[in-house]
Amino acid sequence: MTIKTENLWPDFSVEETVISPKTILEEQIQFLGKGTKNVLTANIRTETFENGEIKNIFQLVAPKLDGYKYTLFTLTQKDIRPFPCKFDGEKTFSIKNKETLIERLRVVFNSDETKEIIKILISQSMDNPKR
Amino acid sequence: MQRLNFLFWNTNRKPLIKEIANIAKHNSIDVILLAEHKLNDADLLLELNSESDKYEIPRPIFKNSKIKIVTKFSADLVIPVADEKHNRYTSFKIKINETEEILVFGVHLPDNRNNKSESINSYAGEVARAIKAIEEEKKLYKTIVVGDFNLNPYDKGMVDACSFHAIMDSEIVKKGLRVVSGKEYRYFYNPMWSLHGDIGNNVAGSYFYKNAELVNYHWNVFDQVLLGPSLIDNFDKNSLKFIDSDGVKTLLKKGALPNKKYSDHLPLMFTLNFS
Repeated sequence: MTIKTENLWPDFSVEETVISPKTILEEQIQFLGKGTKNVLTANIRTETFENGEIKNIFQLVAPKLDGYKYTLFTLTQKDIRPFPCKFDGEKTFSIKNKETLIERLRVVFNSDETKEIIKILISQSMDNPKR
Repeated sequence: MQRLNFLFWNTNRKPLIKEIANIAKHNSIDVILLAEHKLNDADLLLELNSESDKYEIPRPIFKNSKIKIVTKFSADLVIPVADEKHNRYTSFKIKINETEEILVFGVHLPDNRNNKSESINSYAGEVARAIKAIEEEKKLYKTIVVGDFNLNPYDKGMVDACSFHAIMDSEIVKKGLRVVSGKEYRYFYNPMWSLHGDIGNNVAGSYFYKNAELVNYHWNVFDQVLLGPSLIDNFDKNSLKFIDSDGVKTLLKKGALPNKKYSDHLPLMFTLNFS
């Protein structure tokens, strides 16, 4: 087909595509598995609502404890645009961009409470090797 | 026939160890769930087991600090399933016998003093959807949801199909689900409608609150149990009651209202039968 019109599309820069909060969380799940030798993992349960809201619920999972789950926090987007979003953990924070999200995750993952939960789950998992 | 007696009580941070033990003894309670507790585990077990060693606290994996569980089942038959940061629910499986297990959710939704009713209804939706996701994942639908919902049975968060979708007719609930706009919504059976009001009941609700507002319900049924369709035939409808005495003394004051010396909530009891 002979092209008779000019390209009307803007310039798409794939590199500039905004990384979604879910992708960031999925990467952190990989790190958690590696760091705990797969004794612990995590999953993301996603809920979508008629008003366009998308909720990603981040749960720690202990496969050796019959898949016991602990919900650590929730990230809520108003619509398909990933940012700003709402972080709902011990407290609620507004997350403006990828950098703010990464900083918030660093704080949550390194909090004494999260470290204690992970320690308990690992220790209980090691006590239940047959499950 | 194996009878399984459940007790739920919001103890309002009162040291009610003696009263809990009395209720457990007089009603042969098998599973105890406590909300707003401020009780020492060792003291509670000591009192509960003062006449025989029966009760155990499940393994320390349970991370819910707001709901305490004590059962007559050995720890290996009570399997933790899920908890959450906000402590609005805890869940566990009980292996009843070789072939049957049930899924139990202990719930404590945020209170009316610090939250608008719209917020509590939204929280109910979040918890209900989490519960339904766990049922799907475990492929286990023999579910009990019990606790202090801070909602009445008729409130949106209890009835909304996107939330608990809990209604008062067990025959309708046995059909399992309802289709709205092409989407399937599973039911819960809410028998608590029958305990709201004084006809045929010892008390007209579980929580009494009266103020000078024009609209005031006086009695509320915040403490509720919901059952999944697969457990309705196991549920002994006649067993459902708010307890007004611990078997030794009344939990009511003059006017037959909850005596806040104990708790502002009355305990809830019900029974499941298994063959």
